[in-house]
Amino acid sequence: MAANKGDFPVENIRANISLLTDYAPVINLELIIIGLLVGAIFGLIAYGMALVWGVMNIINVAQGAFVILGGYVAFFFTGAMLDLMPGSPRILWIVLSMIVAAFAVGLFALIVFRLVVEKVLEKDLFVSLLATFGVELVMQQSMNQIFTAEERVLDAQLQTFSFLDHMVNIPGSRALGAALGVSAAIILVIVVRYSRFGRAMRATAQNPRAARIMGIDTRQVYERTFALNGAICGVAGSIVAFVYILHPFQGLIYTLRSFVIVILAGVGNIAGVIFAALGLGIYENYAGFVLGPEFQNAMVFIIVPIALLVRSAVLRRKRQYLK
Amino acid sequence: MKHYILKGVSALAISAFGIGASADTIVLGAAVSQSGKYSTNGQHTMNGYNMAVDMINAAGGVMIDGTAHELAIKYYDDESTPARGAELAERLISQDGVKFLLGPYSSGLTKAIAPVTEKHGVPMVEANGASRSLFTNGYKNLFAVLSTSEQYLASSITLLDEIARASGRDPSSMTIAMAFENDPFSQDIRAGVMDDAAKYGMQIVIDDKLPKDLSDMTPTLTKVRALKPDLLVVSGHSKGAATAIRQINEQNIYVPMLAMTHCDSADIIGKFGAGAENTLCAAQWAPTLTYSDDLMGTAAEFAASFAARYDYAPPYQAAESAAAVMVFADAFTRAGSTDQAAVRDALAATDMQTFYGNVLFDATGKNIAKPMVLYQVQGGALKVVGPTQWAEAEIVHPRPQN
Repeated sequence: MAANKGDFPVENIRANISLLTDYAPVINLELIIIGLLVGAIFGLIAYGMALVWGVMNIINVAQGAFVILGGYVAFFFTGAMLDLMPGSPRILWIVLSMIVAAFAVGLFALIVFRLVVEKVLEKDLFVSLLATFGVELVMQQSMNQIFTAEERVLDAQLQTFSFLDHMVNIPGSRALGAALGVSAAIILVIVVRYSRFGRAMRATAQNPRAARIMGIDTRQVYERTFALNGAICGVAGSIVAFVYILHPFQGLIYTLRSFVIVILAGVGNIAGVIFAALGLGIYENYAGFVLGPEFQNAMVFIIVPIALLVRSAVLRRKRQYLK
Repeated sequence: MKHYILKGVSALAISAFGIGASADTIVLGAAVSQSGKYSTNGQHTMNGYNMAVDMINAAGGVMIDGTAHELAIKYYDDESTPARGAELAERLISQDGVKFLLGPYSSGLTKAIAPVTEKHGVPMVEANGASRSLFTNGYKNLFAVLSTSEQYLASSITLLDEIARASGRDPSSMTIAMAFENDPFSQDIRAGVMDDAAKYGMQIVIDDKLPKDLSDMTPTLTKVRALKPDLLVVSGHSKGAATAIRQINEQNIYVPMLAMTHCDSADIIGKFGAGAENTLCAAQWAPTLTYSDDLMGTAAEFAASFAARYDYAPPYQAAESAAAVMVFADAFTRAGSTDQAAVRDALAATDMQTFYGNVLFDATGKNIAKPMVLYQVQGGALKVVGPTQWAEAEIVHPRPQN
């Protein structure tokens, strides 16, 4: 059954498909549920990226590094609190660590905005890509120096829920992560839609010049948007800490994944982000199962040109074009 | 402690200004990762090198043809990138005039540096490049004290065979699930497992390659649950070990036998406590082994003096690094000179026991005298369970189902 190195593992794929269709169809359910839970976490990160992209026209390459930073803040906060108050409920600190991480990374993003991002506002997209890529590199190396290259995990010590004769298992940590991610996203949607700041943000996104004429301090809107994105990454990072693994160089995958999600949803389509993320989560899980994990990332990226082609074809029929 | 730090500083000072500082000092060059993703293991490597150099110097240095020579090391930081490593090796040899090199950390860096040392005819003893592809290029100046990668998890297959026979089952009815990272080192380990599995006629039911930026192995584990293999082997550096233990527990995956690499560098016991229980872990060395030498004493004595000096228990990366320096010292004495060709020939003829294990190089430069050991996490501690010769505890099999 095992294929040689370099061969496309056709035999494996056939076996994996038969596993899904004949042998244990109930696995499908687990793949779908886990996919949704994974998607919810990535969706939150992508949401922040979509905000910055849509409002400021900046693709924040440092998104993943922000997430990892948030994870470290949550990791050390929870550890310190448990040391300080042994026997206190772990889950309480884990939930609180989200808020701490949100503030910490939000503040950090504010500093990054003043030092770097502000200078490249309304410049060519390429300039801001380079600038945020630089921020990513500096953050990676600094985190490596400060926190060392050791992998860190936060153990939420939550139960796993088993259904259908132990064939479908939902880890409590992932369920909690997804629940927190979704609630954070809902709060965000409400803020963007109904608050004064949200209105100013949308106005700036539509037309910064007109917004300025109407008396909106666009610089402040940009600053707050970027800080808000930092806070989102902080929350996401604290989830990553107890669902996945923290490592100073692990950030880029979160940047790339959210990039794909934003492209799939369509830039400017903030509400679409969460659906794109959930869909991608399921799709990715299936790709990993059927083709093997080595093709999982490739299958995620392959979907970008396909989505763009399809969308541009649809738009052309309406005599519109892809921006 | 302070005393040692001062000693360390003076050793560094010697190494920094060492070239030509004294006619009786032999300078070994080393590009080791002090920043970047290998910085933790790079530090273990440097600690091992420094400790061996200091111990050798304290014991009177290396006797060459009747005169005592001190050892010193000149370090550069390779930033965990192969290109930088090769550049620094070139610099050590061409600009700094270093005649002998110690290896860097990781197979990737060693692979980048080996062609440079080979070109200049500079002997290199390395302790942290285990990929077997290092030894298929006909390098004449590369010597490795550690076991090569294809041996890492092969012992778990032998163990599975023993268990099958003991329980009256046919070894060929045993099924194996494999999840290996998609990098040369882990794929070498996979090749070793495949060879041994084929030898016993065991069936491989899952053969997944984990991506380098791995954070999730759910799909693989879902397959494991459906196919119920007798053994699951995982290797993907420390990240792979930590991810596997976390997700195996979280997803209620049960396998009777679970073997992996990098348990100690990932500190799975510290991170997951009971969740790591009964995992089998491959290691190059263990402090409980019965090897010994005149300089370091037994493996346990080395562990104790290392812990006293650096405040942590020595991981095998530090032990094998110390052994590399000792192999060099031994070769200098036997060569009776610091002529590169003479030292190379002396290295090739090495046949010694160190606290780390026996060292005997084959024609390709790899150490063929030292087997890998297999630990099992038992009661929150690593206990050697294989090979049977060194076992300090009996293997718990099958792992209890919770």
